Parts: sequence; C-alpha cells; structure tokens
Amino acid sequence: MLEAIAGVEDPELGVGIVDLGLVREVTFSAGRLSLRIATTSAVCPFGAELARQVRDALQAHFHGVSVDVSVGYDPTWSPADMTTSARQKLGWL
Amino acid sequence: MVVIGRLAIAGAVATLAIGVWTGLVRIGWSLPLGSPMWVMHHGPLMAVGFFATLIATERALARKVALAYLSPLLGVATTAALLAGVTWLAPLLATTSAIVFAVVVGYGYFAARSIQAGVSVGGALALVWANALWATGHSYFDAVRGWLVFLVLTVASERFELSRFSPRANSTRKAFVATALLMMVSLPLSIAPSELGAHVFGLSAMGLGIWLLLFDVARKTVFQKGLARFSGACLLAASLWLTIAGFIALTQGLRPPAYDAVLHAVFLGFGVSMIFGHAPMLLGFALGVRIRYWSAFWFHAALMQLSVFLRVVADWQSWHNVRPWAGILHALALVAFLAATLTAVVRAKQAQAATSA
Repeated sequence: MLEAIAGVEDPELGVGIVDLGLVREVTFSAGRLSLRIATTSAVCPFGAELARQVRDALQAHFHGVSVDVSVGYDPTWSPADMTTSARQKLGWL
Repeated sequence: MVVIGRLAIAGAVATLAIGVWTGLVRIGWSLPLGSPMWVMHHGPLMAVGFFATLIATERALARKVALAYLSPLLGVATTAALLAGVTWLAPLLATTSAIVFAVVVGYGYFAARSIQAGVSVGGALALVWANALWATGHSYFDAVRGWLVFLVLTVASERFELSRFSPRANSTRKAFVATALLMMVSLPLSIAPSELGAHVFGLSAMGLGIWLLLFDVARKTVFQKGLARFSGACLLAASLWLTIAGFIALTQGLRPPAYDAVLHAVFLGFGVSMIFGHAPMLLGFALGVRIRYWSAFWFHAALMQLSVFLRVVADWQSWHNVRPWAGILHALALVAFLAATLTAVVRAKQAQAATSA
C-alpha cells in the first residue's frame, strides 16, 4: 500500500508523504481501505489535494477496493517520524 | 464553497490588476483611469483588496467553514466600494472583513494553541487595527503600518510552522516569538508623532527576515528539484527582502524616500515572492488540478526581484527618472506570472482530461 502512494509528495518540501511520516493510520476492513494523513501545518490548504492524489493512486493500484482518505493536522508529528531518506533531504543527517 | 473561493481569488486578481495600474499612474505614467480618485486608493487596493483577500481565501479553503468565506467576499466588496467612489463604506467593509478573518484565525488558535497560531492571531489583529484606523478617519499613511505587520506576521507564522521540518534549536522558538511580539508593539508606537514605531517595526522585520533566512525549511528545499526548488528560491528571496526592508525602516524610519522603498520591499519583494512560490500549489488546489513545475516560472520570479532591486536603489539614490521604469518591471513581472500560471493551469486540465478519458 505504501508503495502505491510513494509518489505522492508534499509540493513544497518535495518529499513523499510516506517518507515524511504523514500517513498516520491505515485500516482495511470489509473491502474498504481507510487512510488518515496529516498535513504539515494547521492552516495547510493542500490537504484535500494530497488526499485526492492518495485516493487516485490507491484506486489505480487496488482495483475494486473502496478507498477512503481523511486528512487533518496532527500536532503529535515529530521529525523522528520521517524516514532516513527524508531526514537526509531536509538536513537532519 | 470552493466556487466561492475561486470567485474570491478572481476578485483578488482583478484588484491586483487595477492596483498595479493605479500604481503606474501614481509613479508617473500617463494611463487612462475610470476615476482620477483611484490613484489615491492604490494602498488599500493592494493591501486589502489583494493581499488580505487572497490570504483570507487561502485560510477559508483550508478551514472549509462557511463563515470563513465572508472575509474574502467583504474584501472584494471593499474594492468595489473604492472603485465606485463609496469611500465611506469601503473602510467599514474592510474592518468587518478583518474582524471575521480574526475570528477564523482566533478559532484556529484555540484549536491548536501553537506558536504558529498565536503569531497568526497577531497578524490578524494587526489587520483589524489597520482597517479600524482607516474607518475612524486616519490616513492610509497611518493604516499602512498595520497592513505591513499583518502581511509579515501572517506569512512568517506559516513559515515558522514549516520550519520544524528542518533542524533548529529550541531557543530559536523564543527568538521568533520575541521578535513577533516586538513587531506587534510597533503598532501603538506608530501612533506617536515620532518615528519610534517605524524603527521598532524595522528592527523586528529585520529580525524575522534573518530568522527565516537561518531557519526556514526553504534553505533545504532550494536544493531539491522542480517546484520545491523554485518555491524554496522564492521564499528565500522573500526573506532577504524582508531583512532589507527592516534595515531601511530601522535606520531611516518610514518617511520619504524610505517609505516607498520599505513598502515595496515588503509588499512586492516579500509578499509577492511568497505568492509566486506558492501559487502553483495553491491554485492547483483551488482549481482541483495538479499544476506541474515549468521552468518558465523562473522568468517572472527573477524579473520581480530585479524590479524590486531597481525600485529600492532608485529610492535610495533619488533616481526619480528610474523609479517609473521599476514600476513597469513590477507590472511586467506580474503579467508574466499570470500568463505562465494560466498556461500551467490549462496544461494541467488537459492532462487531467487525458487521464480521465
């Protein structure tokens, strides 16, 4: 599933949302795939667009599966949630 | 509600065009105007009709609350009132718009209770302050100090939020908050007959500009590719102009010729550079398309930097014959921006249609 959305990037940071650690919750139940993604800012206007890109990527990858993507600001996010690749790009390593 | 957002953006862009046109007349070019009075309103057209309306629209699109859309709609109405000559109504509409914006931003603070949200409230209150001064008979010269603080704090607060994606010491948070508070303090000091408020604004603007140059995540994203690189470059340029504007205000105050240099370094160098850097993403979201990076974006960004540099130098050196040409370059940069962005939107829609087929 994460590979399917690996290409969805935060447009400003130029890093994938998976590498940024913004995919906060994934559930699959009764043929329905549900994701919750976090935005990078409480006033980020791009959340809905990112959710649309995630939904499109998943529906293209998982035919016949119903996909539900929700988005919201997550104040618990920390740099430790990022992958090594993302941390390198953003100057942590 | 997205449709309302698109209408508000269209209104803001139309106001930008009119505002730039009146600016060219103001700077010395002989151009036709619907009314000679429009020249007097260049400041509020740009600060309220364009910047405040655009920012309020972005916030409404992010919040997705119906009330939030009232602010940008009132901003567009302010422009209409100014152009129609109903000048007693315009500041009332603008103040109401600012109050609604402050309520929306304030609600965001109580939901998040973060530094970003707090500084953003400061920016919103500065807008209320500025428009209330205008509504109570103060001149644009008095109101503009609040408009400057509104733009700087609103943008800086969002940059602060994103700065957590790159390393910075915890002590930098205190420095940011202290500098933002100092900028708020400059507002009541600006009412005094002395230039103390201007110098305090300058010190805080310089402080925030330097903070952004040191800690904005743009320092890292400028080394990425495509839109991230372009956006990072625009953001860093914006922070540099904020620093320069702050230096000028700190050392020269806000009396002419520093007044012209500071205003245009902040509104164009800082504000418009930020818009250039975010426009592909924001417009893509507002229009429901994914706008791809295009190397042509660099042209209008570079032209705007050149034009602001020319303007500031012309003010510094009192090159009165050069300043009008700087104004022409501002306008050309904005025209190039609109043309490139419109082309990118069309391409994005065509790509989307091809994918759907």
